[in-house]
Amino acid sequence: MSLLRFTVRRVLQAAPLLVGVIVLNFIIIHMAPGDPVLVIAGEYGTTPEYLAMMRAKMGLDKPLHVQLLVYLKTTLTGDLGHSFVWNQSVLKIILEFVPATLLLMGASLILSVLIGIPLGVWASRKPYSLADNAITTLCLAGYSIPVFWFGLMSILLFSVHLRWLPTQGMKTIASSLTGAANLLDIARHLVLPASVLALAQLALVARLARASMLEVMSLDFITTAWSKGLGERRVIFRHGLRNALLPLVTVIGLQIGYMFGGAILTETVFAWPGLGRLMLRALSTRDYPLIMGMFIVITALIILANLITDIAYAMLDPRVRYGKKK
Amino acid sequence: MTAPVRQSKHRAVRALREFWRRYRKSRSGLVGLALVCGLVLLALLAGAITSFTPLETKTGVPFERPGTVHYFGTDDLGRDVFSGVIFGARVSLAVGFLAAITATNIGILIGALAGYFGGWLDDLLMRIAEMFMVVPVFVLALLLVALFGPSIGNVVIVLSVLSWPGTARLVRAEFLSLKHRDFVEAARSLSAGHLDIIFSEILPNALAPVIITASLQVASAILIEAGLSFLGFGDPNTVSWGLMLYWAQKFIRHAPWMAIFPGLAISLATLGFNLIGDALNDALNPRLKER
Repeated sequence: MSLLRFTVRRVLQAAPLLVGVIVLNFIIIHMAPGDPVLVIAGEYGTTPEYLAMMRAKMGLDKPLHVQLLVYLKTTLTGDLGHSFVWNQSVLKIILEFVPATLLLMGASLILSVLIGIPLGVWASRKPYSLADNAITTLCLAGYSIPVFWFGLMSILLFSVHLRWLPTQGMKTIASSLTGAANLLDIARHLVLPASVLALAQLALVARLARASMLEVMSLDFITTAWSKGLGERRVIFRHGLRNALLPLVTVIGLQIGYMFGGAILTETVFAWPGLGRLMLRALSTRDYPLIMGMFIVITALIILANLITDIAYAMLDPRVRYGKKK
Repeated sequence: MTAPVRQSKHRAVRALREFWRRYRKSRSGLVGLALVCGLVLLALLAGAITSFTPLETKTGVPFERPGTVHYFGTDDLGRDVFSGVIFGARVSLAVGFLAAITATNIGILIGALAGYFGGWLDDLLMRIAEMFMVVPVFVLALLLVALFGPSIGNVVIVLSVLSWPGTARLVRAEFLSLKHRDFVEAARSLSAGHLDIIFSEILPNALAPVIITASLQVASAILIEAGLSFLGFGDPNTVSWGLMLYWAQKFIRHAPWMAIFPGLAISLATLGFNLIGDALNDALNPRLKER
């Protein structure tokens, strides 16, 4: 199967998933108690006429299945509706907040790979040695610690006691920095939240890298490499790691969804102006269109990330394209 | 009829003993077990261990540092942090266990049906499972709890509904590989019914991965519950570790002890269940048995 056909098939498999998620969200929101019209209109001092107008505007006076169909159609064409709280298009609001979250998640993903893989390789060199046991234990601790508590503790240490790094927001308030100075300012604000969010991910990457390395290093071609008299560095990195990395790609892709949860909590602790904070605000104002829109965008991003991972995997490993992987 | 029963009982005891012999070898597994047992004891004996109750205000001066009366200090309303941590163990453990047990049962049922019967039922159930695996669990949990009201019961229901797919896929895979084995064919030829075959023949042989996953699920349920409470979407009437951190957030500079101890408790509880899961994996995984 060519890479193109593989890609097309994966995309076709992902599409019903997205529709399913949209339907799921619709069901959930409409099962919830409370009338969204009352919640939104309540702020203005309402009249029955005003409520009726709002109902019609939101399509809430039509039967549920009609609402669903209308919603599906409009959503799939990219129209996520209008937030009455913000009085702005939902997609526009979300797109405003996406970059900050992507920056945070991207930075911590890079951190976790850059630190996690070497840790895992180091641990796998001598299984059950002191170094291995130390790394394995630290990793377990790493994903047992709640991310928000780790955030609070790092604020306490690095900002309150050591005064090294800023704790809140993405930019220094009331500063008018431009160009390189502005980027440096953002980077300084990014260090703590990105490291905090990276911890659990890093621990997982290290553990998987270790397991994957152990498996690869026991294969015949590694024995051949050793017996050819190649140095340890060459055997581990050129022969071992290259092959051990493959399964890691899939797992890291699958972790993106999990990371969104961590990102919401991290953003709250560090007042990072991303999707997480937007979500909390939308929930507290019961901004239904915004809540649903955000959920769909986040899930779509995850499906997209999984798709890219799958295709990357197929590019790296031709066997997947021919194999029976379902 | 008594002889085979006694024999199988004997066999179960022997299997259990063999399992314990293997589990015991993992030092970290024993640490995990000790952590969890310790927390369960604290939770059960909470009333006897501390003379304060967690919601009682003005038990001392607000923001008292940790000392001999208030071991973990007091918070902004003069509540005793130590008693909060002790009583909070009840909430976290209850949520963790209940959510994991419910999710595991749902997962077993769905996985068994999908794997045993196959066909369209399998396709349908696995598509649903796939959908739940794509959705970001914490985000969806947050949404559901915010919409349906933040009570402990709702948190447990939401976590159970969201965490079954992993178990279901494991059970399905086990069923697929076991359902054509000789012992199943033998039962079938003795005209055993589907339910009998599923629950008495195949399921007992498919439980090992389920047990491992269940212990990891307790850990993740505790973490998610704490996260929800930390964001202000936990049960506001029950003191939990996450809720204490929610309160502590504002005072992190002035009264760090308000945050340090509940967070440490969450970490230890989660670590305990993760360590147990790891040790179970080594003890139950037949591929590693001979090492």
